[in-house]
Amino acid sequence: MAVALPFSARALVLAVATLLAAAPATAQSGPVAGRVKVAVVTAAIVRGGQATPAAVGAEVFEADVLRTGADGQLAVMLKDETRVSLAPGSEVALATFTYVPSENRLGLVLRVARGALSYVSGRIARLLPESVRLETPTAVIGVRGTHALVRVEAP
Amino acid sequence: MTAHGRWLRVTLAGTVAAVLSACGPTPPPQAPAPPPSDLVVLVPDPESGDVGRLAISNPAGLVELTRAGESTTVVSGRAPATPVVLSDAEIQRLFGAALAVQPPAARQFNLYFELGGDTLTPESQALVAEVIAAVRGRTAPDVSVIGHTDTTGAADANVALGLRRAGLIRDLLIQAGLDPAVVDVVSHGESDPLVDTPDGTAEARNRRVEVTVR
Repeated sequence: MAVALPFSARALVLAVATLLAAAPATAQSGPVAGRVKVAVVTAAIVRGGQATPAAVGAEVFEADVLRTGADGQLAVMLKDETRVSLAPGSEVALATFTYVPSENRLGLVLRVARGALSYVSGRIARLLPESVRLETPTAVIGVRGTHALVRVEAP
Repeated sequence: MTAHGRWLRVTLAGTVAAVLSACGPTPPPQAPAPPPSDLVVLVPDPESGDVGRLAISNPAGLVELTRAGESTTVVSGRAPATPVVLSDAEIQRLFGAALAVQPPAARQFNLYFELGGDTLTPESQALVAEVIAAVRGRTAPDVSVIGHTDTTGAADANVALGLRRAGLIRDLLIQAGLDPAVVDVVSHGESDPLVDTPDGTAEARNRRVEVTVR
């Protein structure tokens, strides 16, 4: 149904719509876990089930899912200096990211659903290696300070 | 379109349909696809070249990777396979696209201060240009600036002094063009010394600002 709105009301609707479009998919209360350093289309950050194109410099939070399309590549550096980079056709969840070294609260879990990933340890792995885990559909990978490559075939 | 053109198009469409129907409807019998498997490879640290250790486990078993290029394959419900060393060419083929976008390692700088204030030592003054170059050398930098003091003076005052030192470095980086939104500034005061000392000790190595460029 078309409703004729006065100009100011239309402007308001437009402004609200613009705000909604610009807002992240879900409000984030937790601290920033990292930032996108490289994004080659198509690459997306999935937050609360909603995918947003991944832009260079974009913030990443715990529970975000990083996803690349058939031509996409994506690289993130987390606050603890962990580096994660994705080949095309990949999906990785930042299932856990806790980095409060002053309180010795540390944890990192990356869940690889499909594709190929390069992981380079950061400070969490140096400070508390047993708190770092890479998970695939078939296994759990414990990391002792290093560089790992993980490939998961889609079922 | 001419009548001839129309005829040609109809004929082509008919030919394509005929070729397609010749291929179907029963596909040739195929071997069942192998079950999906995961691959894990241990490679040297990109900067230091050090090789760490990976422990790959599931309810059926555990395998450790300890050598450069060593890999294991895991199929659902089975223990990880006996490790096999992959060639560099094979690693590139499987992981080249991920490795190609791997960001450079974060860099760490310590800038030192004169006793009791927010004046950089001459050596650290000279190092500021290197910090700025490290920031400018990255496409999307983000930076942590942490201020520290020695144990001279009261702890509260030292938190404030650490913040003043960190703020000075932050301002220098922003003047050099760094986006203020990507800089975190905190002070640890005298609580996180580089060198442990008794209270009330002037220690040059503890009067510092740690800058991490990611």
